[in-house]
Amino acid sequence: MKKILFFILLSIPALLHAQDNGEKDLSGLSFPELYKLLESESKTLKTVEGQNDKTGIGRSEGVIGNIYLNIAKKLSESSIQSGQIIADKEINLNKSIEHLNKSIEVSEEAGDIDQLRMSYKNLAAAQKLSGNVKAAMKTYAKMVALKKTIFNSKTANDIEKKQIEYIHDKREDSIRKMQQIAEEHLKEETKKLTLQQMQLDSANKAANKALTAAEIKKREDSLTLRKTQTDLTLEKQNSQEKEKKLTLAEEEEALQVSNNQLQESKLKLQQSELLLQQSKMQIQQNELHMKDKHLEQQRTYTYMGVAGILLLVGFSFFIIKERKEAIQQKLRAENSEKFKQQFLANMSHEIRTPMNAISGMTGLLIDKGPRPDQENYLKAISKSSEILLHVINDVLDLSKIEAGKLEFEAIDFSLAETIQQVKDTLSYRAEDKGLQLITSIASDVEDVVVGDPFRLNQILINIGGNALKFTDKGGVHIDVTPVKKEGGKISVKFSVTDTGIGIPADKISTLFENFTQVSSSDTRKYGGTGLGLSISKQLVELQGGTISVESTLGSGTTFYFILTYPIGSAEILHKRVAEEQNADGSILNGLRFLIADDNEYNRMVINETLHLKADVFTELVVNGKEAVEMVEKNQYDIVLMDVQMPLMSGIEATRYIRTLPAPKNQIPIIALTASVMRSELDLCSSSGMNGYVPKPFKPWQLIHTIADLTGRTLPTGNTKKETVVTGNKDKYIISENGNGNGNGNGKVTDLAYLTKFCEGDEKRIKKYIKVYLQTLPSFFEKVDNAIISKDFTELALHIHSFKPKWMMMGMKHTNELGIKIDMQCKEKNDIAFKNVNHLIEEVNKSIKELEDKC
Amino acid sequence: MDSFIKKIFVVDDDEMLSMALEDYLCRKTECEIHLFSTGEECLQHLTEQPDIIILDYNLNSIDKNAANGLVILESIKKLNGAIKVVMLSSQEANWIVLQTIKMGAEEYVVKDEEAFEKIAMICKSSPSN
Repeated sequence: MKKILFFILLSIPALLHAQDNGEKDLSGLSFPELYKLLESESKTLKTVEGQNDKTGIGRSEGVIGNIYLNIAKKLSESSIQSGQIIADKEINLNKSIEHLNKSIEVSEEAGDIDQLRMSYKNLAAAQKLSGNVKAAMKTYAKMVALKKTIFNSKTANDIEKKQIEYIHDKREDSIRKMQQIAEEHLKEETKKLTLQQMQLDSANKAANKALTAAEIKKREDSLTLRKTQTDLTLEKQNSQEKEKKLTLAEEEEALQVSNNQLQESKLKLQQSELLLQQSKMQIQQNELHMKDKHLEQQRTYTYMGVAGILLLVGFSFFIIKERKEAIQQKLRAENSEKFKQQFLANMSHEIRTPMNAISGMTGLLIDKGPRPDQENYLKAISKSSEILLHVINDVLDLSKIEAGKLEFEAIDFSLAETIQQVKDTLSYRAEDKGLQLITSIASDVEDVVVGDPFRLNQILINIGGNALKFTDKGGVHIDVTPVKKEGGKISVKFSVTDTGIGIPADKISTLFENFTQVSSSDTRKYGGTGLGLSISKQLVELQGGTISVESTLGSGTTFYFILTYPIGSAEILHKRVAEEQNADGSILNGLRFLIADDNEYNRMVINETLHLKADVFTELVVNGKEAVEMVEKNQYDIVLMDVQMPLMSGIEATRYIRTLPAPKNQIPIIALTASVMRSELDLCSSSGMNGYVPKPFKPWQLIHTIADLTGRTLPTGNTKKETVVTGNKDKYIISENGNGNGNGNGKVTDLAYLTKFCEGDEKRIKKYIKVYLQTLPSFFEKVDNAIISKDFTELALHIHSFKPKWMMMGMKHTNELGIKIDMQCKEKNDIAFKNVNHLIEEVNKSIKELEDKC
Repeated sequence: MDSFIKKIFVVDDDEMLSMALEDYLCRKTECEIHLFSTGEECLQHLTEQPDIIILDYNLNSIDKNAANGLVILESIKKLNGAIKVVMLSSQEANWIVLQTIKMGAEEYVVKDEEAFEKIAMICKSSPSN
């Protein structure tokens, strides 16, 4: 078997490297050329047939088949596809297939794999061209299978033959060998016989000699001897022959056995041959299956691909639709925003215009000295319209906040005054319910700060009002305390504490939302729109502050908010106050006014106010067009122009007036606007208006603006009426810089207060200093203990208790530090301990400074 | 203006403050001042019928076990509701301050630079028993 394997191994490379041998490419030939080839090849075929050269036949048939195929191809490529041509094509294809099949048959017999493959290829092409795709594919499959087979029938036959030969040879060899052995045996036997004969002869001679001695006896003896000897030899011969026969028989037997063995092995070989063929067929089948499967797979893939594409298309349509919708929604939302804002702006105007009339008229009436009962009624009307305005303002505020258009004043104002105003406003409500209303401001809070007192007032009245509303006994305490002072700014904490019904813990989180009230029954019992807290929160936060609440149900509530203001100047404040109070219009005497307003009552209010306050000349028109005409015709010092008018608005009229020849185009124009929107004010100024007065207005606002624009300076000087500061949301940062002092001269102590307190009495002063110094050791000890045990409460307690003493010694900064530490202890912030070290430093310093005083 | 000399109790564990207050009040008013460093002490002397008690809120900064201002206030009011009580506090949570009012304190004063003036004023203006 090893030889066989060896042979197989040798043949594999040969097979694998088998290529399509250079089959002539006939596609470039013309019909005549093709027919010529056909003739010559047919001759070749006859020759090889005569020689019975199977390989040659196979090749020839293959070539002929190929030629016919090419003819058919050429015919099919012809531009004219007549019936004749089609028929011709068929004939040629059939012939091609016929010859190719023959070629395949013979090549297979001849074992010419290359030719076989080529013929398969051409056959497949021919079948395809004739439209028999299935057959073509089968042929193709065979061709492919061919490539891969390691055994072809020829090789297998060869192998078989060789095997048989080999075995045959082997058997013959062994027979020969056995014959040789038998012959050698015979030779040896005959040699032995001759030897024995010689021995016999010599024995005979000896016997003859013995005969002479005793011839008779001896003859008898010799005869018997001879007899026995010959018997012996005969017997020997017989037995040898028998032996020979036996050995021969044995040999024959052995031959038989080896024959049988040969037969067996032959059978086995045949069996394995069969198995081989079976597996060959199996492989071929598998490959065909795979082909099929491949095709199927391809089919499924195509289906999937198509489905996928459809899905994608559908999906992308969907997405596009969604996007379109989203964009539309966005547009709609934006539009509705715009609409909302426009609506509110309009509403504001529509409401404020008549409000203006009401409050203006009422004011005028009160000014005209009515009867006491009339005055009461008027006050009631005034009050009610105020409240109404307040509600409107709430709503407008909210919309302004939402639109990001809320702005804050930045004027110098007095905290004490504001608190007092709040107290005044709320005191009536408190008295009505028999509640106490206490206000307090810490002494170390700067009184004059720069900010928006109106909004502060609004917030405090809202929160304070709520506190009074929800309290039945006890009272409300409004407290103002400093949180920190730094960089010319002061952070102030406003707390409003009440002993009211309290707020349940679960309601606290929604407290500041719009329209929420703690319970719906509240609305009925206590009234209110539910907007106040939400607005207050926004107002606080837009100014960069924080607001929070603590409450115990049944005991009371505290609202806190902290705002940071730059420290202001009392001087500036007084100037402003003086100005406001000085609503003395006499400064405006002699001025000529043109008043344009489409609303009869508004016209009346302005006109009357002006005449009441000053000695002036006024003319009234009802729309922008008339305003322009009048300006063109007559001389005025100033125009008061309502913004929204029919026919031609104030804006348009202003624009027009600005195009007039000088000096008419320079006339000051004041916008009278009920609008609260910055956008409208911008529009006013961009159209050429010089200033504006809101509706409703306070007389002093009107007077001041007019005075400004007509170059009439008021005796107390001017302050800007509106410095617009948009609320910012900078978080305020506590800096941990605890060094330094507040006294400017590097000292921590300042004995000014003490001196004043003791009325300059040195003895007394010394006494207090002594007491202070004496209490320090125990203070240090307690503070140290607190630091060691990290006890925030202890620390806070002791620092807290020392504050009055620092105050006495004028140690302002130390006091402030103490406040800071106190707060940090409450927050359980470890930084308190760090600050305590700073504090102790300052206290030590104070010791040094005061030691030599006593 | 009163002709009576008012009796005033000052209850504060801050020695210096008490001293200063006494000093001030003696100068500025015609009053009889008594100092106590604990609330309990004050209560013990309540039979002396003071007109005004100036009561500090934090009475336990030195002696931990001393009762604090609120408790003393309550006791005072229980024992003799006619006595006017002025609470002294420095930056207490307003919450607590309001509690004092709830409990009947007539006034409260924050310990700041004007405190003494305020107290003097209160002492001057209030009628005696």
